Formats: sequence, structure tokens, C-alpha cells
Amino acid sequence: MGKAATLTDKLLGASTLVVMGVTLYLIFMWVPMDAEQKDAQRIFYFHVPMAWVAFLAFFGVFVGSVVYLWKRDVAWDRFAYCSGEIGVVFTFLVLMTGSIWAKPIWGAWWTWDPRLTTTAMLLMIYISYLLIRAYAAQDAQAARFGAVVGIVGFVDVPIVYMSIRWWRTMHPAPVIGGGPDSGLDVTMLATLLVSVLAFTLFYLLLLRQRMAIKKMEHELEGMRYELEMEDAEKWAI
Amino acid sequence: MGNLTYLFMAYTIIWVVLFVYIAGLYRAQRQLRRDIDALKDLSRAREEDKPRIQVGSRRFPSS
Repeated sequence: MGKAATLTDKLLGASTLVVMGVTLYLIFMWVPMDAEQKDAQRIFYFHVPMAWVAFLAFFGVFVGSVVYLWKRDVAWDRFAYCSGEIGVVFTFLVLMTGSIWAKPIWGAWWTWDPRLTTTAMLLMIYISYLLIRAYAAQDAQAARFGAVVGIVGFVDVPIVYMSIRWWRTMHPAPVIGGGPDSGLDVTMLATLLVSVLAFTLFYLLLLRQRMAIKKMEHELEGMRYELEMEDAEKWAI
Repeated sequence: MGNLTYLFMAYTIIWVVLFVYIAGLYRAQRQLRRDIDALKDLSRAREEDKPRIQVGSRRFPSS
């Protein structure tokens, strides 16, 4: 992306493309169709990895926020913010794809199921995180307030994950580590794991690009400030 | 609607949203690079003009 793309960006971009291509091949050409859910089950191979990326991204917000409050290093705040933005995009997609899957399987686009409700709350929490960042008067204040929301908001992530274990729910049981009745056919599991890898690489690629943009915004602000100071000095003379 | 329609709908939404997000990132990056280059040019031009500007001078540096 852009002329300043480093070798790491190019390698990451190329490997994301290759693994994503393999994932699509596995989903649409290789893995057998589910006997009960038919084609709608193939949504699962993107839905679950996107949920994984959303959790990973919000964990990034949590870590970035804690380290920022501790060290006051703006790079960690940048990392937290960018990770949060990507997390919001993927959480939105998780809800959308879940809803589209639910219509033919459950007969409804949406129910106030614990998993769905806690995920919607997660999206709202991190949208407010981004809004707080956007509307705070000063950068340092935005970073500080955002960090607090980023840390507190992360509490919802384990709640979303555990919601299908803690409460009665319509949502399918976890496919990995979900007890004796759960589990996947080996081809389905392999496809899912490759897709998780593809989306993890994609997250890293997006994160690097978003952080580069944030860094450029910071650089631009600094340059504008310096020029304004020069102008002010000139007029003072 | 058949199950295939829902599958098509889900994957279309995923790619459209991701495409819009990536396009937004690309556009922002290009705009920022343009702004930074413009400010660097301005700053360079000021640096070059600096020695010729004398305090109290009523003349433009280039005249």
C-alpha cells in the first residue's frame, strides 16, 4: 500500500493473499457440505476467524492502553487506537455474518441470545472508545480517556466468549474445547485453522497500515505546529 | 431464499466492507503523503529564503 511499503509490508501482503486464496479454495472447493445446514454452514469459515481477529484486536487495545498509561509512550496509544478500529470493523462483520447465517438456520435475523447481545455490547463499547478518542479536546486527554475505556471494555471479551457456556443459548456450542458433543470433521477443522491463519495475517497487515497512517497524521501535526510557531516568531519581530 | 443466497450475501458483505475500509486507508495515506510533501516543500522554500530576509527590510526576498 503506497510507495513507502517496506519489505515486511510486502511479505505480509503477499502471504495474506496466498493464504486467503488457499482458504477460499478450501471453503468453496474442498471442504464437504454440511448435511443439515447446507451452503449456509460455509459462512462459519469466515465468521469464526473474524470473531478471533476481533478478540485479538481488542486484546491489542487492552495491552496498548495498559502500557500507554504506564509509560506514556504515544506509540502504544497509536497501537491501541488502530487495533480498536480494526476490531470494530471485524465485530461489525461478525454480527452481520452471524445474522445472515441465523436467518435460514434459526428462522430469524436476530434474537436477544446471550452471545449475540454481549457481542452487540462489545461493538457499542469499542465504537464509544473511538468516539471518545475523536471528540476529546486534546490528544493526551483522548489517549488517557481512551485507555481507560479500552481497559474496562475488554472485560466484555471473556463474557462474550463464555456466554455460550454460562447461559442457555441458541448459539452453536464451541467447536474447539466445547465438551463431548462438540467438535468438527477433520477437513472442516483444517479449513477453519487455515482461515484463522489468513485472518490473523490480514489483521497484522491492516494494523501496520493503519499505524503508519496514524504516525503520518502525528508527523503532519508536528510540521504544521512548527510552521505556525515560525510564523508567530516572525510576526513577533 | 435458498441457503446459497445467504452464503452469497454474507461473503459479498464481508468483501464490500473490507474493500471500503482498505480503500479508505489507501486514500488517507495518499492524502497525508501529499500534505506532508507540500509542507516539506514549504519549509524548504522558507529555509532557502531565510538568509536573504533581513529584519526590518521592506523588500521581498526575491526582488
